[in-house]
Amino acid sequence: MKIQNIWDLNKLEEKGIRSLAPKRPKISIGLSTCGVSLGADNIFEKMNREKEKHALKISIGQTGCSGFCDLEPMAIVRMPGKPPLLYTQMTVKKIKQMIQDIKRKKITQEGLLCKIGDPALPRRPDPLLNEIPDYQEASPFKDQYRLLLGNCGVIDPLSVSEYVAMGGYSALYKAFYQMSPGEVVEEVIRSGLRGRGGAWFPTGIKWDMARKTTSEEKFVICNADEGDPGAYKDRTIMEGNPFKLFEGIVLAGYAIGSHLGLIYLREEYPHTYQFLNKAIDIAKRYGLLGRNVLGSNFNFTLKVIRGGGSYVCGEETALMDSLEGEVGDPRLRPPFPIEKGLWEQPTIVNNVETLANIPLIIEHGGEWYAGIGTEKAKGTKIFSVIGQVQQPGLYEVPLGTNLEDVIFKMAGGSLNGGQIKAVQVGSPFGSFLPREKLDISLDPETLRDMGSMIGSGVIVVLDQETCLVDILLHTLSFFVEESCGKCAPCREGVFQMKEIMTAIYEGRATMKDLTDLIDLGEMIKDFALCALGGGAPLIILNGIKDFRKDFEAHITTGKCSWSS
Amino acid sequence: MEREKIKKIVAKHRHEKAAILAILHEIQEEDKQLGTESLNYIAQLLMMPVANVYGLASFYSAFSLRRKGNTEIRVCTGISCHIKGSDKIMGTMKSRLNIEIGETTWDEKFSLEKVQCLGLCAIGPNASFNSKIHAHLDEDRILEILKERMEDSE
Repeated sequence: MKIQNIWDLNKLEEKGIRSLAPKRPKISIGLSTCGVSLGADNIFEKMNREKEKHALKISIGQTGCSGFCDLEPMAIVRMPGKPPLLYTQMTVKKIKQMIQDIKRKKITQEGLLCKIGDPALPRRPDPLLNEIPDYQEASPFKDQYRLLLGNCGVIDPLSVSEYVAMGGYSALYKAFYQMSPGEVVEEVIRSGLRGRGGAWFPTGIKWDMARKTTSEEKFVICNADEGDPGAYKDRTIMEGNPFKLFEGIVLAGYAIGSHLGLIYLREEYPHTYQFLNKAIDIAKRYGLLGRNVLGSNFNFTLKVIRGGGSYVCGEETALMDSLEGEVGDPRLRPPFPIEKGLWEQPTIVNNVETLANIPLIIEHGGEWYAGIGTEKAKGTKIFSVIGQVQQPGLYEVPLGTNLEDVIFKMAGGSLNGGQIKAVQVGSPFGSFLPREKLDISLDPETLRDMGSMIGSGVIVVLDQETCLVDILLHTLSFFVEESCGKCAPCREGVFQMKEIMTAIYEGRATMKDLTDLIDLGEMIKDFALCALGGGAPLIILNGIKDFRKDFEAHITTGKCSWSS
Repeated sequence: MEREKIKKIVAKHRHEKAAILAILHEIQEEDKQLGTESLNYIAQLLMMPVANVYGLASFYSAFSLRRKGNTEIRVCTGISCHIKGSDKIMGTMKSRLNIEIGETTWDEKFSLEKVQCLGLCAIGPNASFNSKIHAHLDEDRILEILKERMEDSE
């Protein structure tokens, strides 16, 4: 069925509501990469077999991940007249029990986390349900502002109708029938949205420049190379709500006058690759990609291209080299991609999270969006909080939220209840901040002023028993392996830094080596060609400044007494 | 790999030079390696210098000039898995399989690689065995999985 007009869209919305509030009980299992890694595929298969064997009157569906992979496999249970219930850490045994309970119209208590109240779906009040906390009040969702992740792990990611029922494609419809491309760009400028991949460049300004170029051919590239170790927000969006991303990409194409979008996906996400291709086929069938999108006269083709496992290809100019079938080398700028990008044509490169924000901005207006966040950094940001922390996962909060609140209130503090030693915001390039520097606002300006960066939002939490020399050496090894080799300061310099760091770690170094390490770092910082080479020494230099004790312990005794 | 198969894959991508990464991916998936003969032939079909094709195959870590095992093991060494002890996981793999990173066992059953991050940071340490990812690994679990895999392949 191709959606041609508003009536088709309304019909689809009704279908989506029926699917989200079904007449017969429905169990949906989280089948994202993480769910499957923890056995969700096995549960899904067993359930289907059980259903067939006993001719159960239960529907079985799928959903994505909410960003808290350790709570997977998750299950959403929808019973007629009741709000959906969210269950965590499912097993085959627990699901079997759940099916028995559903038959008896009983609410299973084991693994129940919360109920998902949805204002779009009116329901009768039920005293039985009062005891169950609401999605917004249940940890770990509490205190978050899940604009982008709200539907991840709730709706069926491959169901267009469920996405439409949640408000999907109303932004694209509005843009096509009520707004000119220039007005779309205006709205994005007004929102103050800035690139979420790490560079934080104003998205609207980038689009405006691309729109004003006169070239016949222009390209939209979605950067899904999510290479920062510790980041998985883009994967969660792509696997949890792919049509939202597609809607954002088509809006970008409409705004700048491009008819081809390319998602450059990292090679390490094979499951996501299959999944996105499936979603693209579905979107095409519904007329949401391809010729005459949504019945308009706008055509748009979207393709997924796999990368080759190279970190530097996440940098936009190297990414374009890779798309052209070359070795990924960062190019000197100018010319910028908006003038001469892919195949020398005007190109915009935007991160997955950035593009997923676009439908929200068009639907609710730039002004509404600009009301969230700080004066200079608007909107929400997804932070990937990992390491020695009680509840790791993706936390979406307004920019400007206090870092301590995220770590202690939301993520529950350190894993073993002990003291936190250091926190790295913006891994791998962000500096490690000691415990006393954590009372800060999470926004690009604050972190920049501290001599660090917010990056793509990876927050690594380390407790007292972690050795900073070990962690910094690990990070340096990453930089050495991912250096493209184009400039000597990075290729040779960072390599030498790693050699010295290894000597320090193994207790073979002297205090003179530490001074040399600092001198070398200062030099590379100023002379490297791109952000990768220039950023690598910074984190070491700041690390030595704040955690000198660890370095000295390794130099004098060969180890540090606090690491296990 | 047979020339006919390579020809088919290249034709599927309409002999486009830009599609070379996709072509290399598909050949690698089928043949478990990018052999010299294959690279030469791809270069010929796409009318590219062999050095360029070789350059791509060696630059991108997804490709291997040496034959990989039937089970490709990739141990995640991202920051989160590192904190959770991926070094130990890698060490156990190496000693049990008796190979180093980047090598393949003598019977071509297993090859061992490291990967920068699999994007499953809340459930590490992780490793992937072909397309199957195992999470929450420890040394005992690794030995168990390897044992199962070894028995399966016999």
